[in-house]
Amino acid sequence: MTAIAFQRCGGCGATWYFARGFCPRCGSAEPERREATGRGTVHAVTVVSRAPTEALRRHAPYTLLLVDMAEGFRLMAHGEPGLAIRDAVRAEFHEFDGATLPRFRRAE
Amino acid sequence: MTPSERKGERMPLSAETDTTTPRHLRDKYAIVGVGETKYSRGSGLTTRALATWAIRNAMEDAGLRPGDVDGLLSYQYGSDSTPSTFVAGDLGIRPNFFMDVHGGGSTTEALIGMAMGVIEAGMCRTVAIYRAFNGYSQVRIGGTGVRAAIPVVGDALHGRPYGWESPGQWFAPSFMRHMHDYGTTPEQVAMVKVIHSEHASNNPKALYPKRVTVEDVLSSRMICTPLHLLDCCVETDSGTCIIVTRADRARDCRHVPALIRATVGRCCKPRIDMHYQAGPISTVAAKYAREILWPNADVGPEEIDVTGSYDAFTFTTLMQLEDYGFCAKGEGGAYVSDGTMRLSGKRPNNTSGGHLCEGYTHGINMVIENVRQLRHDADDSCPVGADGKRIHTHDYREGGCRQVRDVELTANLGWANPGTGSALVMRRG
Amino acid sequence: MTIQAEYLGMPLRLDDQDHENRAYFGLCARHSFHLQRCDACGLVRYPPGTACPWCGDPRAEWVPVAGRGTVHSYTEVHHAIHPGFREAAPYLVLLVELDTQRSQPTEHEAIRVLGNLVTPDGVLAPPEMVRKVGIGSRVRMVFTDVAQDIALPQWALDEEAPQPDRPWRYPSG
Repeated sequence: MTAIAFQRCGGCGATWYFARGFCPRCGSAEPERREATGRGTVHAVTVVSRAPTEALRRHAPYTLLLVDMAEGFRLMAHGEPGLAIRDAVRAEFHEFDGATLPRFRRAE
Repeated sequence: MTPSERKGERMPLSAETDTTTPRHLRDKYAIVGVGETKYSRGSGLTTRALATWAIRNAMEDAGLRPGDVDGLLSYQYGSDSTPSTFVAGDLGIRPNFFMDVHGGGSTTEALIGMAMGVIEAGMCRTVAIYRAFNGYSQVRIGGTGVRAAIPVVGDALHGRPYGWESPGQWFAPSFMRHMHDYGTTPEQVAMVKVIHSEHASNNPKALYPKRVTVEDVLSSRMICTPLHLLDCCVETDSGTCIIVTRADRARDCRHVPALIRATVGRCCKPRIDMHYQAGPISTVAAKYAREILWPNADVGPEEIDVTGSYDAFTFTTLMQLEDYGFCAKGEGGAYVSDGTMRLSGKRPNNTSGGHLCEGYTHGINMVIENVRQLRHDADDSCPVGADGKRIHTHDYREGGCRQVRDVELTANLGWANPGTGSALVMRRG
Repeated sequence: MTIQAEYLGMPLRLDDQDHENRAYFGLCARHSFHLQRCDACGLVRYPPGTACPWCGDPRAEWVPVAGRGTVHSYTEVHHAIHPGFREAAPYLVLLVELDTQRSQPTEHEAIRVLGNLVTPDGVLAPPEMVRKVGIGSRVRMVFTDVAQDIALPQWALDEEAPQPDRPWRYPSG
């Protein structure tokens, strides 16, 4: 099943999104790779009306989010229109210019 | 004390703090940590990962934690590396200062001076300087391919359309003129590679640890006169890092600090827009840099125990040692071939094998090596004692020791081109 | 308009704003070698630039300069970097000291102009010609036409000038 992967430090418990060779907080090597539940809270939101590239133009306007995930890390992703700060969200996945990307919807 | 309480105090006048000479900075700063990744031809890693691992290794070497490093300085040639901001995130460093500069050779020593300056200015406390690039598997400095398609624009039209477009080709007029003016021979020049290969054979990290002979160098194919293939350094993938902080903080670190006596940063010959216009072209920027280096360090070349003279090519080592005054003008050929530079000689040079044999890093690995020499702990194959330090045999035969006896003072001579150079003198703390 | 051209498979470009280089290569295209002479101190300079490297004065005029000089140093390139030069290797890159303004304004200064050793019609020199030239050889400037507004100044052996008995060459070359 498609899921959002993140890393967790076995030493200090820190979590983060982008894959790294060691913990950016305490330096412990060999962090664990885990899969997120997909649940989180909107930390910030913006709507892109003027797309930066020709390829993105057909998607505009589109919603960009910073989401604080239940597991403690923060990531940037697409979201459904109308989301606001502090909204509870859950991840779905969609095809976007040939890649499978997370896209968040309001959680019931 | 509040600002109003301070009002009655008299500010010291600038005349009372001697800022007319850099004497007050002598030995005030130190290199406390050094680190590198494997030297390879195919790292299989991003430059971000190379930088991150090099800095991590240097922090571990120093006994520092991410919160202890609050400054980052890096250099890149073109866009062949990853900037500080990305690397800081991977290391958990929150920079109070960072700067990513353009530059290749001669940048290391210049950035060490800049690190001292930004700490002195109160901008941050401890600076990690790194260089990370896939110099073989991604951007080759002498490379063909991608570079061929880049348009030649403006001022570059006076050089590149003549097939004058690699460092070897750019520097060759100086080298050839040195041979013409002083009778320097190909055999003398080849001895630089021979000696550096001897040192590399005692360095488990070296990319090219095999010892070579003068005949090997002279029979390797000609690249551009006077440079044979083995006169040229080895394009390498690696990440490298050194950590600079104030000497009083250095006492908390793991190793004996390498105190910084003096630095020179990218000192130039006249007409650096096209340096062949001015002066004898068989003389390089070191002629000017030495007027800054030795007075600031308050020592002279005769007092230096170990040198690290940039060896992008065999000839660059020779010209710098000569123009920094390690021998008389014109006698560089004799100096590099008479055994002085050997591990067993009077003043060993590039004891790790340098760019010609250990790996090409645009200068930083030669500073790393001298820091280790000053600690009396070169990472050779000697047995490790109970205290974790190697027991050096000083037996310099192949595969053996490369720690020089009783090293107290080192000099690094960085090279960008015949017209620009940097330098660094360090002392054992 | 930006001037674009191609030479030995190498793309060349001169931008609109680059008045100095456009003037220089434009004059070369008319097979006429000119340098900027400073209005204030009277010295000519190379390569072209915005101001005088000796006195800093920006005022200058283009003046004709004799394309004659002596090979001051050189390199013989065996391993070509650009694919367009591979067939021509080994080729010579010459650093030529002009007769004009030699040892001025100080003893070790001179106008030193780069270029390849070429035949009188501007083609990269064949091996037997390459072997004849070294430090001390007397050369004269010729031009390699690239496009309407760009020609490259180059160097050919000066048949009219007395040549040294043995120009200095790299020992085994």
